[in-house]
Amino acid sequence: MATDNKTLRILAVCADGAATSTVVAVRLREYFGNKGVKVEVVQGRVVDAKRSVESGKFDLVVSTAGSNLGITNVPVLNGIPLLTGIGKDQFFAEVEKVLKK
Amino acid sequence: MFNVVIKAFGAAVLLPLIILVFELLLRVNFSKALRSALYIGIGLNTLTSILNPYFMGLIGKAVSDMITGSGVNLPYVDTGWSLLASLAYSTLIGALIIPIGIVVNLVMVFLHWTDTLDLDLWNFWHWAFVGSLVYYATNNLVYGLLSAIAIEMFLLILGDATAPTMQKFFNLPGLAWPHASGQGGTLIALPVKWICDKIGLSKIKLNSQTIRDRLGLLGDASVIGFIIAVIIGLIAWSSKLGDLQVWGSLFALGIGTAAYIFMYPKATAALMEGFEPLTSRVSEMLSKSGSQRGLNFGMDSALCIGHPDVITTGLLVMLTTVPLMFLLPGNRILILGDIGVTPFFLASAVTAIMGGNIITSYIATTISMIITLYFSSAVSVNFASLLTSIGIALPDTGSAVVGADTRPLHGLFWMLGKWTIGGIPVGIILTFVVIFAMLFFFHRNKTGWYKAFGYEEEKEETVAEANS
Repeated sequence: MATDNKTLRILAVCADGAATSTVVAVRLREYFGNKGVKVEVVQGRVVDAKRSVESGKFDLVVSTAGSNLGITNVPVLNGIPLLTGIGKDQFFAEVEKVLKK
Repeated sequence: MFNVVIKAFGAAVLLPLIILVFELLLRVNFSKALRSALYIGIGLNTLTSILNPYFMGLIGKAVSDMITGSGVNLPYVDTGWSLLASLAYSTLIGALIIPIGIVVNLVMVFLHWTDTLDLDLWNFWHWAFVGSLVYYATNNLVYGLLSAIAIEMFLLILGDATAPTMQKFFNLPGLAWPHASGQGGTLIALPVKWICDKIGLSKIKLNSQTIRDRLGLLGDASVIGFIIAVIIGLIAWSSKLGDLQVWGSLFALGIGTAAYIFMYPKATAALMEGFEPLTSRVSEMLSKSGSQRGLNFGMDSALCIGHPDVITTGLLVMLTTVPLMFLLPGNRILILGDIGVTPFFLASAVTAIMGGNIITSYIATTISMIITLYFSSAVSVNFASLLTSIGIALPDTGSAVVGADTRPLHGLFWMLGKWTIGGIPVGIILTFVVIFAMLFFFHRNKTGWYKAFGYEEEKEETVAEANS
């Protein structure tokens, strides 16, 4: 769980590690920035997600290209609500719930 | 007038200014708008600053030597789609495409011609790219604009027709994909599916996970880039392989290519970050009323590429593309920057239409890739001079030239847009006749179209209907 002095590490993945994961990264930074939580968002390609998680010490993975990535030790959330704006509030509620654990 | 301005300022200054103006008009907060404009400039600069040394120092020389030394005539080098997007947004059509694209979409929604509201503003660049190519080929702004509008309308209809299939296959309700690259193989998938259903090929199922596990190291785009570069080097310097220095250049070329494929998404990420506030503002304004009407939101086909069947099909086509580039008669382009991109985008809608069948998806995507190679060879002839004329500086590398990875629909609308007979734009007229015919027939028999595009109704649904 993230405390005030710890930086939250999030892996944002999409198909090419450039396009939609950037949108996710920007919106996550904005959200946590407004709350005063330190966050580091790393972008990556969905095919590399499993390998990145094994070596990267992430608190959360947000994917826009399917959330069935074979990752078991870190929670994986579907980031599409951040792109469409539909269900954005539920998404952040889910983020809070997952990070509290 | 615009062309003079763009030449004086260059794309890396003008595009940020255009975005800044749009954002301020839509009342994005000033400091946010300024920052995003700067990021677009950063993205464009990063792109040229990784492109130029790579092209000048490494691949340009090797490709040049390959052509002069061995007669393997592949002068055009694809350096990735970011450059195409930069070109697209740096022309007069690119400057206008966002307001025009939104208005055309809204008019179509208002007239009930489409149920797709495209919120993926960044990918309007595909329409601007086609429009810009036509504009510069015909020197006629109206033809360029009409071509951009035509491909948009066409994609919104395809987006509607494929939405039920793709929503179900990818489990993404409420979305549609009017994405020019993602739908690039759709028209090819339909006849391939029909034939494969007839001859029974559609019944053979392969497990995509097993295929992927077997590919191992070859499943990485950077590794494939390394291999292609080494092949080019071997052909180019085959007579000098006794020299240790040549082996040094050979591996430097391979690693440089892998590094380029690794780095160019970083430049794209900066561009995307700069674009984000505008996209976010427009979605905010449109999405509420859109969801009230039950519209599907148009999204980037990238959302579909994480699906295991799409990845497997894409990987197989990526591997197939390597020999195809060297062996296909008449091919003039080396796909390098997009070798890990194009096959996957082409596979996205195709795989959904095929219901995840790897064999039939592979066939349709490979055909789409072959068409891509030929269109790219044709478009690349004037592409580099077009880039220089809008102020994107390119190095002089002898016989090797920057090429454009032109996917099937981009190529098709480019060809139609510039086709005139005796001053009459027959291609554009034909395009609009087809578009309106599609609209007419689609709306007369939607279920039939959904079925043709791969939609299969669930058995439960029919039971439920029978009960009610």
